[in-house]
Amino acid sequence: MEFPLRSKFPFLMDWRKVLEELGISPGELLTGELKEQVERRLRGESIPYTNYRYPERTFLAFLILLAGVDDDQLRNEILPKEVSMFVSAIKSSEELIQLMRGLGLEAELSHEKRNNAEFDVILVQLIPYLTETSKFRDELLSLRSLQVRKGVVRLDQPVASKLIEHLIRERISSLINDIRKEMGGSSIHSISKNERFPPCIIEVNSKDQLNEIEASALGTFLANVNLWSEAERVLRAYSELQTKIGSGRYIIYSCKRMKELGLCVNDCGTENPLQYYFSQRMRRGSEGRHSRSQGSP
Amino acid sequence: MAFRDATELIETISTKVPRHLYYSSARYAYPAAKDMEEKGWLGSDMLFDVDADHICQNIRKISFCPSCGEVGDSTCPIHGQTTEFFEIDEQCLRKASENTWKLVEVLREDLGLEGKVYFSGNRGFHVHVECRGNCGRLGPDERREVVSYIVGKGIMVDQQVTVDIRRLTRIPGSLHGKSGLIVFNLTSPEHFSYGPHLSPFSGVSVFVPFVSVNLKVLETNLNLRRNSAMKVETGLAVHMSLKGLGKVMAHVK
Repeated sequence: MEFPLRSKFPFLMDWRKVLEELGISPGELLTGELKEQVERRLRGESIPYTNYRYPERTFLAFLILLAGVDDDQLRNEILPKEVSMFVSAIKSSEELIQLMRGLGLEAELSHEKRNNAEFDVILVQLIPYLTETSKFRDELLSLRSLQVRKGVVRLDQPVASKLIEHLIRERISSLINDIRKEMGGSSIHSISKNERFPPCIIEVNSKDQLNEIEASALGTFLANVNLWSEAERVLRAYSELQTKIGSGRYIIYSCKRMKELGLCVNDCGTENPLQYYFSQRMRRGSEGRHSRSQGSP
Repeated sequence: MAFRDATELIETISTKVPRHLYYSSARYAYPAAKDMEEKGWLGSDMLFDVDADHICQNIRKISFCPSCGEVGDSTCPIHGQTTEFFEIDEQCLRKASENTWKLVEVLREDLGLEGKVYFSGNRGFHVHVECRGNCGRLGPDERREVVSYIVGKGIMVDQQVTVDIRRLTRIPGSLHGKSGLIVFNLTSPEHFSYGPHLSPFSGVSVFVPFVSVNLKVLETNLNLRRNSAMKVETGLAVHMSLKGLGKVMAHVK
């Protein structure tokens, strides 16, 4: 059975329009059948969206849930599974091209013959290719690994699949961020209230403007606790720093160094801010287990 | 600095003659604005720098003290000074030229970009790709990808130059302030040869060297003797003076 592209790949939708047509707010979508469906997906159910009665609404409800949950780790676990499901749902080169175009990358399909074998090559103009792919920092997509002729980048099937995977992930992440903003967002400020954060990080995070050292301290901390999107936002003004932290070339400042930099605001008795975070996390974990066992018969 | 038009530019540089003359590879909505952020970046051309001294190995380096003429690799223990001169020759420039034209071919045949070649006025070549629209708006990361592709083709270019979206580049027709040679456009590899003819200065000058050494400057073999005045072509004298090898004492047209 042929499904419309947007049912199969609901991330192509205009989510504001979907809500507008229903006349409801994001939170109101997360009820009844849709709520149950997305909860099942959160628990690991991975079926195509075309199996649902309302593919776009289900996907949107799922995004709303992910956007509302103040948990980057959960998003980091769920997102790759969803992306991988969508990539495996692409059934032809034509569909791949349609999808690329839907995601804003103009691509052409070329059926070619070599050594009596026929194969498809995806053609993308150099400048849009660079604009879309350099941010992914993926060696497979690097221009030097590819064939380029007269300003046209030629992608074989594995590279094109990798590219679409990145594009889909980027689109879904961007949808989640948009929805978070719309919802008044679980932003960095709410995260800063996290009890697990050490006082120095909460203090730095409460500032409106960060200098490079503060951004480095906060960005490295957030990256180390898997709050990547927040780290990226903090480091937006310092692209070199973002690259270095992204490549794992920066380790977090010690408490001693934080003191020297005037960023320490409390004597927590720890050696570095991460030690504080993880000790709080362990403490909270054991408290949770303890309170559950108290409630059981 | 920003100018309203070419006349204002020419007036300014004619009255306050600068040693170096550059323009930015970037285009701005308000180029005269003081802060970079206020200028409103619109896009940048793409620049490539091919330097002979990065390509050639075993370039002879002459180090000496400009005060006493003592030749040696370390700073002069008495005067605390050192001047370094790199003996670039035609053969070395030719290698840089080969790289440059190979770069132009890769830009055209692979990347679909048209590059214009310029002699840098010193020891290499610049390739300038005019980039408008989305090409101009490519950021450092995208430009790094382009350099990486080019390096992968065995061409040596200075990566920092190409990824810099606010790079200054020498104005064609101006003189390189460290050599006295003209920056000019080249239309083919045959169009270039290295020598005193790259200097716009004519006539003869009296030149007094700071060091005693036999060397080749602009394809001319010279026997320099410290503090001994010698008569050389003015282009050569100006070049050696700007390279710190000595001073021009007199000039005859």
